[in-house]
Amino acid sequence: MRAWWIVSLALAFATEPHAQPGPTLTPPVLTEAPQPQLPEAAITAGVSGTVELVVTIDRGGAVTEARVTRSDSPLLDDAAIAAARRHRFEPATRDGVAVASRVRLAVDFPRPVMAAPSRTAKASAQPAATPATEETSEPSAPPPVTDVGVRGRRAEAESVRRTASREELRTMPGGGGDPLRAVTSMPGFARAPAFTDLLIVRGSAPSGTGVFFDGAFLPRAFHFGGLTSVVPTELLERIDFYPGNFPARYGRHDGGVLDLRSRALDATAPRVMAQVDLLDARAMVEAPLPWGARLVAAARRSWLDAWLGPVLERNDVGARRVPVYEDAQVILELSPTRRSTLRAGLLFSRDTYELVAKRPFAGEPALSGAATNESGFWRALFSFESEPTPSLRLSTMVSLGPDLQRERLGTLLVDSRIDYLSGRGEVTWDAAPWLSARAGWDLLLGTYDATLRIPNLPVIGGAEPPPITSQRPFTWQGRGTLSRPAAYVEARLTPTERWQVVPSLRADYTAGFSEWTVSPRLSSRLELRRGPARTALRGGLGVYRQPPDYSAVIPIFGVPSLRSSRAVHTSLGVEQGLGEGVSASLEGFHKSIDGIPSHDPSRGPVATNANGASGRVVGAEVTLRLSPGGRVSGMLGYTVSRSTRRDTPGGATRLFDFDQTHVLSAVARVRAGRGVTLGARYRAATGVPYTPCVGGSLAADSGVYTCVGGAPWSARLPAFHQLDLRLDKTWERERWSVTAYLDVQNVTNRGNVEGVSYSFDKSQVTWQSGLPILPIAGVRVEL
Amino acid sequence: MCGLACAASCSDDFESASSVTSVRVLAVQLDTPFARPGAAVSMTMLAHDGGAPRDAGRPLSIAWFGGCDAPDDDSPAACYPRLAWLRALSPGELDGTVARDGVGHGPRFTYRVPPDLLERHAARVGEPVARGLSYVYFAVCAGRLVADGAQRPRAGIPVTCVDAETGREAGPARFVSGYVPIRAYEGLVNHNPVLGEVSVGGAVAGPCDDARACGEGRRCVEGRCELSLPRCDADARDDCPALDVTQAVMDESYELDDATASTGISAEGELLWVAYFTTSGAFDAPVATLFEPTGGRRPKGESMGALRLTPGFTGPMRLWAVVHDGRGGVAWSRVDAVVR
Repeated sequence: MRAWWIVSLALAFATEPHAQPGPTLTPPVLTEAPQPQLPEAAITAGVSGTVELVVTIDRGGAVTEARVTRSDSPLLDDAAIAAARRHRFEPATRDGVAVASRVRLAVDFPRPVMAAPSRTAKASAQPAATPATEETSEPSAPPPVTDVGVRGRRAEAESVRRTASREELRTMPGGGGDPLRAVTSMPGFARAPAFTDLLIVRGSAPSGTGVFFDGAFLPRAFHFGGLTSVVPTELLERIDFYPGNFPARYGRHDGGVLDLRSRALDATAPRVMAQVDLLDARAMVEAPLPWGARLVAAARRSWLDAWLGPVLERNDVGARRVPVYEDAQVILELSPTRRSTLRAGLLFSRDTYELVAKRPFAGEPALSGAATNESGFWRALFSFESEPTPSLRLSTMVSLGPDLQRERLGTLLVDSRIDYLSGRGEVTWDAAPWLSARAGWDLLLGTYDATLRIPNLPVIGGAEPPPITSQRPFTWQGRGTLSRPAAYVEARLTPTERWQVVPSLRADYTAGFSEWTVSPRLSSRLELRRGPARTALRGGLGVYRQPPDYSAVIPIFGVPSLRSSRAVHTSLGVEQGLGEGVSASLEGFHKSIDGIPSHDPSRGPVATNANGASGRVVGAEVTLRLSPGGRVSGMLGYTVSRSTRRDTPGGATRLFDFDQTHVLSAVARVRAGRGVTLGARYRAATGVPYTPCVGGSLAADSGVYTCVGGAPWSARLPAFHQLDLRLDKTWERERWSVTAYLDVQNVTNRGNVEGVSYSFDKSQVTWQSGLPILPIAGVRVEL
Repeated sequence: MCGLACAASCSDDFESASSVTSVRVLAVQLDTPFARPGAAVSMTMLAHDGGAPRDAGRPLSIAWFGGCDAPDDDSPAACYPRLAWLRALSPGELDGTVARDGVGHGPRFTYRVPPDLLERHAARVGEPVARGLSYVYFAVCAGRLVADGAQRPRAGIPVTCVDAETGREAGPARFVSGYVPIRAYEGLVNHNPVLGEVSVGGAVAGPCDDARACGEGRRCVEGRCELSLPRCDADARDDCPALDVTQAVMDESYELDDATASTGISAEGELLWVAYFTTSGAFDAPVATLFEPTGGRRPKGESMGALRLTPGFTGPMRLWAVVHDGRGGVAWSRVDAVVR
């Protein structure tokens, strides 16, 4: 695998002349920076990070010595030294005469190919120097050197961006090796109920959080039941998680953002990976191609059908087609020039099942009979990134393909196809050492063709509908278009070396609702102290608009007068280094949301016909992190928050459906040696609120009781606690490695409550327990 | 999918809905499941007090409150504010000794659908045929019905049930409240399902004029002989042998579903299912599918009920099979049996 590297060299230009008249110093200038290669051990371990070195440059501009001064992982050191030795410089000069010099160099291994932030760092590597001492020497003498001050890669001023590396994602205890399920252990996420694909971020509705793949919006992030993500960990470099105050390049969501970042492909040698566990089997082939191109192809298929069918049969559920999920990815990458990267890819995902409940649900007989599902998508992706000049970067991305959903449950059906075309173009210009500007466009187009037969479902502000079985479902068939273009600008200002301010503006248009919105945002980061005990303040204030759901263009779901909801995110936090590899942060946040689409009965029966709901979230997050790379790594995250909603203007304030006052997540990993890694994750969360039934009301035509609700959201489920463990053992040889793993979820077999179950007439109540102890064993082979 | 699997597999300790051990409303049948605007719709309630002492029944108070026309969002809950007038009902108006417009008593009630109901209904995209909807509410009590003066939002109809002697709230075992939707169309028709015989353990209750035609120890109840069932001597109900109960349903019951037929997407039939009830023991599954919208008639094995009697129980008992067609059509059969 080739790791892009970043010289965040930064030689601070000779900005401070000597106070005394003296010789004129010119720092060395980087002229050639070959790409380093990650050692196999680092690839296997999924290690990435930064290595800082001091290099000695002779009078000819060659690196004669390189010494590591700080490293995120010992596995990276040799590769960094080797790369540094291949660098070429224009030598430093003293009064116009070349002299030997010494500079500090930071080699960054995170792949920056598709990652704008890393690109930014590379481009901002402006030679600059602060002369310290200087000696000249004769050729025969040991080379005296010029120590040159270094300005390293700046942290970007996103108010909060939390990043999980591939290794963290793959080995997250209880995550089953799945990236999205693993990343939800980060602070900012509330716990989602079992067997759901909900992403609940900082008290927002799940629909408020968008999932992107290299910047392209993914309408469907999980396979059914939230079992696993549609993109496997093996293809990812990392996940960037923005719990709020995200940059202007992301829009159409008022909660948070998850951006799955694909990794660079290996240009050195073919590589094969195969893995099988209780849920699925997967394979990946990666190979260099002629003309420097690289290719990766991966496929995965669940084999639930091999064992789930009999389980379902025993529970009176017949399986005409046993549940199967499958996905595949192909990515071709090539570099037409040294400063450009072209990518073409294909993502495919499909879920299918056809089940028959031999005994109907007494609680809703209309949902009996066959339950069929065939849903999925495919996307063709094209991207091009280039750096025409060191200070200018261009990126373009286009994705197109359909989302398909064919579901049937009893008498109800949904059959829809949406063909999406989305794109993004971005130009970043480092205009000056204190200014980097970015401008971009972001487009989402689509055509839909849908057939629906659905009942009334509960809507915000609406009255409780009768049981589905007592309703006459209504049917709609039609087609139409979606169009949501946007443009954004961002300035990255660096008034001082330690202070960064990022004002930005995003404009969105939502066709179908004829709505223009403008969203100003501001974030800032101030470093008070550097080094291992660094201290930094960061904050953000911004407007986030979320247009009505795509379904709202369909006349049974929405009306043209609907408008986007408007959220104002405010956050303020402090980061504190606590020594090498240990850091802590505290983040306070507030979010007010107005204009949430809702239902006003006086405006007719359409499900969402008003923007009458509003909400408020306030909370704080604490993170303690041990940086990966050593024998022990870990993370402790704690969130306290309160999320409330008002369903109608002037109505009563209630707890939001997903409000969780306390969410605690603690993860620890120990590299025990001999290829053994042990991990543990403990999670605890306040139970979500619910509206208790205080009685039942019989719909006599169907024989189904409906709940007579008490005070809305006035009760809570019991608190959730779960301990997960994971053991990985890797046998590594020169040409292959084998990893066996055991991921045990809910080790203590605690009967966590996931819901409330009532007797048929709603007169008695009990808890519904969730996942029992679930051990998942698997093996992965890499060649 | 997971919900489906879980719903089928996750068990709880609640008594089966098929076990009639309290006051129950087992069905309400409309003479015309789809009514014409302006028509009078007659409804008949099948109620049973399974909690009454075996040797002495207790009277059931049944009251009807009608109606609520063209409710917002088709929601019965949206009508609760319109039913505030029930809070002022006197005890006599609730027990039927004092007449009151809009209040009925006993197992039958007639409600006249407003002639302009279709016009009052807020038309919805996806409804190619104009329709109207009214709700009639009811309360059934083994005790005395009283108006509930407490202002409890979203707490159902403001009528409750108290013990006739103590005046204390009777609780859910003695009180059922609910509603009946009345759907109105100008031209559409739906019929109640047409039922055949019920067999229990392979036996069908034969016709009779009196007990002599039924054999020793068996009564003639409403023109049918009691069936004779063997007592279960197992320790637990689950260990009792299952008695197969089958409700025959005529093919003409399986009508075209207007919700599909009028859109041209795919014409499909009704979903028909049967709910089984018993006064002794319980059915393994309280409901069974008879006809699927796309699959037609389900295999006999899947539409059958499996009855397990209460261990040690002897004496008279009763079974019901209530068939629903998913569009308001209802029909039922009753079987009397004696366990010995």
